[in-house]
Amino acid sequence: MRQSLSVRLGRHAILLIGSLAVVLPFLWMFTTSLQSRAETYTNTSILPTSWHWENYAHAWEAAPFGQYYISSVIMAVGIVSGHLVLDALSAYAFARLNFPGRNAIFMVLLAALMVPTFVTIIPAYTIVADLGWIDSYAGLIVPRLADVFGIILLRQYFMSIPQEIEDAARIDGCSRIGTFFRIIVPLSMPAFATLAIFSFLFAWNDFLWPLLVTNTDEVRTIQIGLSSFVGRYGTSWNYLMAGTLTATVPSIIVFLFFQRALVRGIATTGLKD
Amino acid sequence: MHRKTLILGAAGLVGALTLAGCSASETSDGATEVTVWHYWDGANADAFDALVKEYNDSHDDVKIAPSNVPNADFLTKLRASATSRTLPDIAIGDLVWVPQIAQLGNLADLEGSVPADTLTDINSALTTFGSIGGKQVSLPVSANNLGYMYNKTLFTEAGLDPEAPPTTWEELLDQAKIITEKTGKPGYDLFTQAGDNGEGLTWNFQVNLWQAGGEFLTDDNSAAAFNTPEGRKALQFWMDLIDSGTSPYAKWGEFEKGQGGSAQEGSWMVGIWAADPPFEFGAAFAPYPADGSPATNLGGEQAMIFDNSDAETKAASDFLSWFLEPEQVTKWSEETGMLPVLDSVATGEDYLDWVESTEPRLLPFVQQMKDAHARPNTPLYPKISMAFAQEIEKALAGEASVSDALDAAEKAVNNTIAKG
Amino acid sequence: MTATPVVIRRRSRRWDREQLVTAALFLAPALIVLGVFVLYPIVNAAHLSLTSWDGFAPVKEFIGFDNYVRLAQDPEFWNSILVTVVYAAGVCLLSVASGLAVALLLDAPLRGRGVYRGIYFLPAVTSSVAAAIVWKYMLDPAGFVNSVLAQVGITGPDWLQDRWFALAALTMLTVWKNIGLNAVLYLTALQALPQGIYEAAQLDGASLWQRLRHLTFPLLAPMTFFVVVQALITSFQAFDLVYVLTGGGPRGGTDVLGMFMYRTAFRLGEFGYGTAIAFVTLLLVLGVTLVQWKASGSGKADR
Repeated sequence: MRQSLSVRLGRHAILLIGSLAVVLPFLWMFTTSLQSRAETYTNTSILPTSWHWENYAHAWEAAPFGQYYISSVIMAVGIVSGHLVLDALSAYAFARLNFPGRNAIFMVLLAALMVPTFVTIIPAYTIVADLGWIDSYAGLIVPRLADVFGIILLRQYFMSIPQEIEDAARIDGCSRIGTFFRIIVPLSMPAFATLAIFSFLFAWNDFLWPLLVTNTDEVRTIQIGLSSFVGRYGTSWNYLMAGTLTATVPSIIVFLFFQRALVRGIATTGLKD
Repeated sequence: MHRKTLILGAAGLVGALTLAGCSASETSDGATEVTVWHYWDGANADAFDALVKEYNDSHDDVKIAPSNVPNADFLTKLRASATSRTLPDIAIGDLVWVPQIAQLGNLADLEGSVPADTLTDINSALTTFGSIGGKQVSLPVSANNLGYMYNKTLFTEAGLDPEAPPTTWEELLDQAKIITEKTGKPGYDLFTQAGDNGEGLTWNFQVNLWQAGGEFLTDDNSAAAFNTPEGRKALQFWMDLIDSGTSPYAKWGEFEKGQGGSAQEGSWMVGIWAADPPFEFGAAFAPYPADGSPATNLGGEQAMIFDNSDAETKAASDFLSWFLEPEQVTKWSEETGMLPVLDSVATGEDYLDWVESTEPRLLPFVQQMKDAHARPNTPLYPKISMAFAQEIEKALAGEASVSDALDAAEKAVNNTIAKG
Repeated sequence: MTATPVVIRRRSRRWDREQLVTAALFLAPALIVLGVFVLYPIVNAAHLSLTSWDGFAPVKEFIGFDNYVRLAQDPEFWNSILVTVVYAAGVCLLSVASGLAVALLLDAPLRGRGVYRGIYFLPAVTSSVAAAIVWKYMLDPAGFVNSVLAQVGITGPDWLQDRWFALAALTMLTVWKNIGLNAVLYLTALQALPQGIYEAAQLDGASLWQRLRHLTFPLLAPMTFFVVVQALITSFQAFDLVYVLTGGGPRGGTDVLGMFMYRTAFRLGEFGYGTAIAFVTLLLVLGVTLVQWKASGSGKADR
């Protein structure tokens, strides 16, 4: 039912004010990306004062960004697919299946989530190096094919789907595997969309691991390329911001695409109330 | 079933990628591949690539393959590679890192691999720095040092002669105070915060410490040596600047924004700003006390060769020797604005003529090379620097007296050394 | 009420074979990947925390629990704990509040909803470096924030030079950065809420606030648990933002555990010690999460 005009206006008002606060820093990034090198030292305005659009072209040419984009896309697709598949399977096991050690294993995974990455990065690198995966997509993707965050997210979501629906399907003769594919998965689209967004962001912005396992331009990713603007003797702020803004476009596109699944109105619970 | 095939398909894709594992090719057509890691970016990286190409074109049996590794993560990548024998052949990194990297134990001794003439021609402070445990583990490929840079426009505004920068501490203090008086802006930026590694503060302070005649650590790096009248004099100089209001605590960066009169800056700033100066700037040698001596702090990159295999080590040494020949050193310095590491080049007519005609503001830095000191070459240096900076910062913040801060710093540094 | 169908659930003490096989099949891929590339390295790192490795020495000298003993006596560590706890509390609270608020505001047929979602998501896709630099710039005593405050007659403080204001700024920055992510998480959960009970409640005359308080919030409990766990992990491991905004300063004021760990291991070359800090951090976060887990009934919604 339609909400009253005042409620709707109120919503808009709050959202608008919030939007401003949220967008302000982005504006600074944009302004900086259009400045000359000298201006990045002395400029104090948050609105653009000069319009060096060529910075974007310059930033793009500073390194083989075309190649970096391809690598980043391949890595992101690999990781997102991996997460969606592997995490969903495990999450279902934790959410619905009974097996010895279920809680214990889950706790171990939860604990693993809380270990800061830097602690594991060097031992993990050694394994990947021993496997001969340095400078390869395998090295970039396989170690991150599954992640604990996704397992927990999906598990929570699966558990919120009423047990009755699955029971009904089981009575009809569906196997456990069948109920997973035929009941749970279709009902969990919002969760999958969310995980896709998070996983993509993770893969797209990931820096340290790709830096460690790659040496050549053929497999290096965008974030490594962008970091070359942050030099030992000073940062090229204008090119860094131009490059960064260009690199965030795919993230925004992915977000806008997947967030459509987060819209109320699609029958999600299957309860005929 | 639809969904099932989709999932199986995805799994198959993943599997295929695993098997593919397209690795970079190794030495092709019999040439020895020498991998070089460095953190140079932008124009410097291009200049290096150009020199590498020149070398590759004239040497059929070798392929030098440079790779940029961002400086903030350089050591991390080296550490990771060391644990699995995927080290590069040459690593070009910040001079301060050399003692730590030397601990890996597999750095080649460059004394035998680089011609003796070259070795004696290199700035002695830098060569001594790379001499660790009886081995010459590294050699400099570029140098920079700290000098006095100032804003000519603000000088004029304050009624000071923009062509007469200060030459002594006393003059520096007086002129800075005048700038603050007449323009309301800081006269001289001081790096007063320890931050996350202390080195910004430490390496700036060491300049004044050496100028006053003091030392940072004992010769064998076994104890602190700065808690002396000279050390107190240097710290007091900083306190005078802060207390007079011309160098506000925690306000580093005003000069670079064009809002401060002057600062102690690195020679690299000249090259960076020359093309497109944010304001009219001048450079001079670092002012020293009337009863002290000229001194400055050396920075720059050092090249280390990892003993991966005889063939690669030999090829790497040959490249390094070539890179350190006067012709390349001159070309390299002129392209990048870094200071030449060879004394013959730094004092030679060709190079000096070039400086005077192309970038005269670089001259004070070049001339300072003979008075430049290098920092202690101990692997504990990062911890020492941090311990030192954390204590000194308290004095700068007004929370401790000069002598108390130096006492505490001495204790902290000696503690760090004792713990190893 | 319709009669609930009777399902024969095997109640024997033996494990259900079908479930075991399915579980093994479903868990294998993820557990193998995680086991090899995450769990094994963690075990490896645990061993590392018992050494005095500096990251370069070829031999890692075993020193037992010395690192942990040293940690207990390290004033920098205790300062870091204090800072992190305050920071985490702020981040958790505000993450839940802001994420939920934005999600609720966006969870209605609203014109331009997609645009708003895109906008609120922007901080999440912005690089941490850029975000922190901008905030640092805006928090300058002569900068944007203080000039806005001056308009309403408040003299703004020197934000990044006072330890508590700096921590507050860091908290706001972190919450701002994650607002889109938290909102997305809550939006996901909101999609699963059964509409029927809301209509029933409205017919019963419940006000908006009452519906929120007695229906929405409890039903969102599992997601709130998740958001809090995420916020906890973020705050205990925070590094990028802190590094650029304050570097851990002013003089330890924002030296959160993530910063302390990184500096110790990577900047000061004390890998063994840094890893020990990481494990202590892990224990702390785990402890808090377990408490929360119990309090929220093992993360299940109240059915």
